Amino acid sequence: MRQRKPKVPPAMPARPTPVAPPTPAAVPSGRRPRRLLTALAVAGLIGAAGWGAWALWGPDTLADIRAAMDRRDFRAADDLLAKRLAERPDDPAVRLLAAESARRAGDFAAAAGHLRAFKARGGAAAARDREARRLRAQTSGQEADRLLAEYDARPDAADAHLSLEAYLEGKLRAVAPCGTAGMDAAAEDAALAVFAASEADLHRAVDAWLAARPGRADQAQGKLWRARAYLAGNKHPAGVAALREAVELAPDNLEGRFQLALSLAMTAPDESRRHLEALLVRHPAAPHVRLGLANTYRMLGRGADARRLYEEMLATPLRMDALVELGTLELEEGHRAEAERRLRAAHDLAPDAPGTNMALSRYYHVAGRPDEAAKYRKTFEELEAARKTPAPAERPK
Amino acid sequence: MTFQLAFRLALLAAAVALLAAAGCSRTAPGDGPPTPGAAVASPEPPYTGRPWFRDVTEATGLRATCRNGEEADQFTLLESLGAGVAVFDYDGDGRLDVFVVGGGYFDGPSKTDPKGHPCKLYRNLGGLKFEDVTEKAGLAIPWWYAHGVAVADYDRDGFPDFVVTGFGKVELFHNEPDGRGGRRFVAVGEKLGLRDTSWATSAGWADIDGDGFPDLYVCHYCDWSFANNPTCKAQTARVARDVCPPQKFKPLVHSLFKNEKGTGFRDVAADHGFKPDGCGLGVVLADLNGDGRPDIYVGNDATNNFLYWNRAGRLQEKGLTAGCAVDDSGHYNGSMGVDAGDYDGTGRAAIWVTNFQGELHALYHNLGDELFDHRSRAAGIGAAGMARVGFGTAFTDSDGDGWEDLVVLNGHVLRHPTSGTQKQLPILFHNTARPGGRLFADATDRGGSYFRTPAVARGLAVGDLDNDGRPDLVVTHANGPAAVLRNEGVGGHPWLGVKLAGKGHRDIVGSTVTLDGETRTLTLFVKGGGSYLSANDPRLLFGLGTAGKVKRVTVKWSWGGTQTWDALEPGAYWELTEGQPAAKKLPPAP
Repeated sequence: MRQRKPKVPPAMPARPTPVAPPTPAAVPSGRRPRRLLTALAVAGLIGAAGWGAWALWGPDTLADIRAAMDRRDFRAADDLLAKRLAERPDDPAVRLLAAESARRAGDFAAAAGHLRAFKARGGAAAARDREARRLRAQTSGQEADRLLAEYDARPDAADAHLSLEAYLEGKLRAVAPCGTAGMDAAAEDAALAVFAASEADLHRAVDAWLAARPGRADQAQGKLWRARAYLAGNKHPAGVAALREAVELAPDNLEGRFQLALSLAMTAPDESRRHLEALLVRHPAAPHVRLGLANTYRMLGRGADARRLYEEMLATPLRMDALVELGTLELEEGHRAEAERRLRAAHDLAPDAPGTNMALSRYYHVAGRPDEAAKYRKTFEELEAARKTPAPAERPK
Repeated sequence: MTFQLAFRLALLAAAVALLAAAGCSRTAPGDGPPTPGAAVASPEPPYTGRPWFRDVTEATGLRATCRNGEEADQFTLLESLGAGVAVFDYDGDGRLDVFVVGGGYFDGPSKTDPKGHPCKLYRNLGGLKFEDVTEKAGLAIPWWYAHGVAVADYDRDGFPDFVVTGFGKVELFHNEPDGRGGRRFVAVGEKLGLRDTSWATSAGWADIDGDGFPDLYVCHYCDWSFANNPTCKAQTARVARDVCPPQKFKPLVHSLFKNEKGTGFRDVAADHGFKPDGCGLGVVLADLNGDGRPDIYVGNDATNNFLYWNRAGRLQEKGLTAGCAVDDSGHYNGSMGVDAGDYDGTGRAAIWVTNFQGELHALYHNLGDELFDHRSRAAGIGAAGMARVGFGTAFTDSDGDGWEDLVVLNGHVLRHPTSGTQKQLPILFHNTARPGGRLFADATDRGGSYFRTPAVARGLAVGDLDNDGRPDLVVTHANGPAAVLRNEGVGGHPWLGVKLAGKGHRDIVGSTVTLDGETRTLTLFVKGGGSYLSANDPRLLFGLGTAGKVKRVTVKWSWGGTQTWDALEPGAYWELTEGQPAAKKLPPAP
C-alpha cells in the first residue's frame, strides 16, 4: 500500500508587515513658546470678553440697586440690598444705600436702623448727617426748610434731588395732613394759614424736581407732589389735573391712582369707580382700594356689587366697616333679621365706634323699636361729642 | 474640529463680546415703558336724543333778574340766599303767570343798608308769551331785601294772594279787582297783623287747624346783621375773605301765623312749642302720614331738619324719631330745598332735601307708621356726586312716564369754593326701575342746553305754562336773569291734569289724589311751599306713561272725606270740586 502525503492548505496570502506610524516631525525648538503665548493671548481675550459680558449682563448688584431706586421701585431695591448685606454686612456704602432706600420707601424705622449700623461701621460723618437730616425731615417735617436751602446752595450736586425729595415729602406731611375733612372751621383756617406760608416754596421745589428728573417714575412722583400741594391749598381742580398727569405717566402707581379716585369721589363718582376697578385688578390685596370701591358702588346705588366686595372684606381688618355696610344694605332691602345680625356683630367688634351705634340706632328705628333706637342714638351723640372735645392738655387756656 | 478652527471661533466670540461691552450702556433709569395698567373703561356714549327741556326765555319776553348786592363786597350771609319765583294764575284766565322776587342790594355811604330790588309780575298771554304787568298790578312799590314767595287764597275769595318774605319783613298782597276788568295786588300785611321783622326765607300755606283758611308757616334763618357780620376767611389759601358759614350765627325761631278766617293773622309759634333751633331755608306742607291733615317738613341749614306732625291742629315736632332730621351717618346737613312725593309707587310721600357740598341730597323713604329712612345711596343719588350746593328742587314727572323724577338746581354760596367755581351745573334725575325698587339715574345730559350751563341757581317753580300737559320750569339765579325752560315732552305719553277746588274756596293743601290706571296707581299730593323760596303750579299733572287707561281718580280731601270720579279723559285739565259729583273739563288755554 501506498502512504498519502498530508494535504497542505493553500498558502495564505502574506499579511503586510506592520509598519510603525510615522512619528510627527519633531517641532523645531524655536516655535514652541510662540504657540504658548498665542494660547495665553486667546485665553486672555476670551477672559476679557467674558468679563465684559459679565459686566454687561451679569449680576452687578449695586448698579441694579441704584437702577431700582431710580425707577422708584424701592421694594426691588430693598430685596437686592438685603442680599448684598447678607454678603457684605459690614460694607458702610451698602448700609448707607439701604438707609436711603428705606427712607424713600417710607420705612423710617428700618432707615434709622441702617443709619445706626452705618455709623457703627465707621461710615463717613458728613454722609451720615446728610441722610439723618433727610430722615428727620421726612418723618416729621423737622428741618425740611434747611433741606430746601441746601438744595438752593448746591442745585447741581449729584444728590441734590434727594434733598428736594426729602423736603417735599416732609413739608407736605407737616403742612398738608390728610386733608381738612373733619376739621372744624377754626382748625381748617389754621391749617390753611400754615400751608399758605409754604405754598410758593413747595411749588418751586416741584418745578425743580421735574426739571432735574426726566425719568418717567420721577416725573409721575413730581406730579403727585404737585397735586398734593394744590389739594392742600383747596385748589381742587388743579389738584385733580395734576393727579391725572401723574396717573397717565404711571397708571399702576397705587398712591397716585387712588388719590385720583378719592379726589373724584365727590365730583365724578362714576369715573372714580372706574379708577378703583382698575386698581383692584392690579392690587387685589390692597384693602383700602376694595373698601373705596365698595363704598363707591354704594353711592351709585349698585348694592349687589357693593355687597360682593364687603363680603370679601369680612376676613380682613376692615371687617367692622364691612359688617356695618352689609347690615345697612340688608336693612334697606328689607332683610331685617340679617341686618340685625350683621350690625350686632359690628357693634360687638367696636362698641365705642360712633358708626356702629348709629347703624344700630337706624336699624331699631326702622324696626319700629323707638326706645332702643333712642338708646343707641344717645350713645352715638355722646361718642361724637367726646371726639370733638379736645383733650384737657390741648384745650386752649 | 481642528485646534485652528476652534481658535478662530473663540476669537470671533471674544470680539463680539468685547464689541458689545464697549458699545452698549445700561438702560437709562426709569425710562422703561410703563407697565400697562388695566384701562379705565370709557364712559357711556353721550345722549344724542331730543333734549327734555328747551330754554325759551328769550322768546317769552320774561326779563327778570334777581340781585344779591355782592358788588358791595360786604361778603354777607344775606347775599348767599338768593330769591325765588312763583307760578300761579293770578287773573283766573287759565294760564299760569310768573312772579319773580327781586332780591336786593346794599345802599348808603358804607354800603350797609339792605334795600330791595324790584319784584316783577309777568302775565301769561298764551303761547309762552309774557307781559310785564308789575306796574299795572300795583307792584311797582318800594321793595325791601326780599327772598321768597308763597301763594294761597288767604281770604277764600277765589283768587290767589301771596306773601313775599325777606330780611326784616314779610308782606301779604291781596288779589283784588283793579276796576278795569283786571286784577291787582294791595299790601295788607300790616293791616291784618301779619308782621314779621325777623329774617324770613321760605314760606308755605296750609290749613293747619282745619278751619278752612290757610295758615302760614314762615322759616327764619339766623341772627346775622351788619352789627353781627364777622370777617371770615376763604376756603382757599391766599384768598382773604369769603361769606361766613351759618355756624357762626344763632338760629332763629320760626313763625306760624294763624289765619283768623281771613280777617287777621297771629303768630302762634309759641303755642306749638317752636324753639330757636333751626336755620330755616325750605318748607313743604303736605299729608305725610296719610291721615288727611297737612304736616310740615322744614329744611334747616346746619341744624337738624324739622318734621311737625299735625295732630288735629296741634303740631308735634318729631323729626329725629321719625328718621328724617339727619342723614344716614347721624349728622345734620346744610339743607336748602325740599319737596315731598311718591317716588316709588307706594302711595306714601317720601321727603326730598337738597343739601350742601360734601353731603348727599337726602331721599327719606316713607316706611309708613310715621317712619322714614334715609335711602339716598340705595336710590343712586350719589351718582351725581356731592360737590354741588343744591337749592331749588322738585319732584316732577319730566318725561310723563308716571314716575316722579327730580330736578335740582345748584350754585355755591361761597365766591371762592374749593370745588373751583361758584357756578355749578343743575341735575336732572330720571326715576328708573331697578330690582326691588327705584333708582334715580343721572340724566342731566338729556336736560338740554340749560343743563349744560353752570350757574348760580336758586329758586325753581314747576308749572305747565302752556297747558300742554308737560311740566315746565322757571328758574332764578343770583345776579342773573330768570330762565324759562319748556318741557319738550320727549316721552310722548298721554297725561291728565287736575285742578282741585275746595268747598267755598277752602284751602285743600294736605289732600291726596290717586289715579287708578289699568296697570298702576299713581299718587300726587296737594302741597304748600316746596322747592326753595318758590311756589309751584297748584294743579296736579299725571303722566300716564305706565298707568294705561284711566279708570278712576280719587281725592282724599284734607280735613274731609273722599270722592271719586270715573273715566276722565286724558289730554285735558279737569276741575274737581269738593262736594260736586261731576268733574268739569277745563277749556284749553295754551
